[in-house]
Amino acid sequence: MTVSTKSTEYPQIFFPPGGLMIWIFILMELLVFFIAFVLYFAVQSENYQLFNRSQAELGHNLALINTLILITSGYLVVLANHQYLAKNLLRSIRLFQGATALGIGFVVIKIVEYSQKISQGLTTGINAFYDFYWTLTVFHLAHVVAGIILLLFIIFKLKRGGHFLDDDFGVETVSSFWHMCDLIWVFLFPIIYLI
Amino acid sequence: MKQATYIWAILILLTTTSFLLAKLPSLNNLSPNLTITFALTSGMIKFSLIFLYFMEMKKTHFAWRYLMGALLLTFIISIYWTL
Repeated sequence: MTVSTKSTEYPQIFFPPGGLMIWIFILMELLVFFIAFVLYFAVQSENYQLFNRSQAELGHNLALINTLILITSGYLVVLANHQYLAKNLLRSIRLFQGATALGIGFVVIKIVEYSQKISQGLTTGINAFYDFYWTLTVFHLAHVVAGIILLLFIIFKLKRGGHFLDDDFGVETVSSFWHMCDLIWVFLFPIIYLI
Repeated sequence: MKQATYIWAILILLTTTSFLLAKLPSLNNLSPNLTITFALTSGMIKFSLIFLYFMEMKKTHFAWRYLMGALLLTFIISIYWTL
C-alpha cells in the first residue's frame, strides 16, 4: 500500500517529485560538473590553440548522434511518466524500454568513440584537453550506466504491477536522475566538442 | 503532451544547428558566438524545465509562458548582438 509522506505542515519545496534526496543528489552532481566546466574554461583560455587542435580530432558526428539519442530518450521518459500517471502501465513500460534502449545505444556509441581514441593513442596524459575529455565524459558515462540500471529496475517493478514501497523512490525519482544525465550532456556536448 | 513534443523538437533543432554552425565550412565563417548561443540556449531550456519540474510548476501554465518568452527574447537579443 502506498503511503504518502506529503504534509501540509511544511512548504511544498521539501516534497519535490521523486523525493528530496534525489534532488539534493542532482544539485551536488550539477555543482561538480559546473566546477569542472569553470576549470575547463580557465585552462582553455591559457591553451586556446592546443584545445582547438585537440577538439578537431574528436568524433563530432558520433557526439551529435549521442546528443540526439539522449534528448530523445529524455522525451520518452517524459511520455512514460505521463502514461504512468494516467495508469497506462503497459504504455509506460514500452516507453521506459525505449528510453533504456536509447541509453544503451549511447553507451555503445561512446565505447566505439573511446576505442577509436585509444587506438589513436589519444588517452589521458597526452595534453590538458584530453585529461578533461576523458575525465568529464567517463564521469558522465558512469552516470548514464547508473541511469540505465535504474530504468531497468523501474521497468522490472512496473512489470510486477507498479507498486512502490513509498513515495521516496519511484518512477519520478529515476526520471529526475535520467533528466540530469540528459542535461549534463546537453552542456557537455558543445563545451567539449564544439566551442 | 504537445508541449513536451514541441520542446523536444526545439532542443533537437538548437543542438543540430549549433553543430552545423560549428562544423560546416560554409557556415563556420559566421560568428562563433552564434554557435555558443544556440548550444547554451538548448542547455538553458533543459535546465529551466528541470527547475520548473522540481518546483512542481508544471501545471501553472502562465509560468511556462513567461519563462519561454524570456528565453526566446534572450535568444533573439543574443543573435542580434552576435551578428
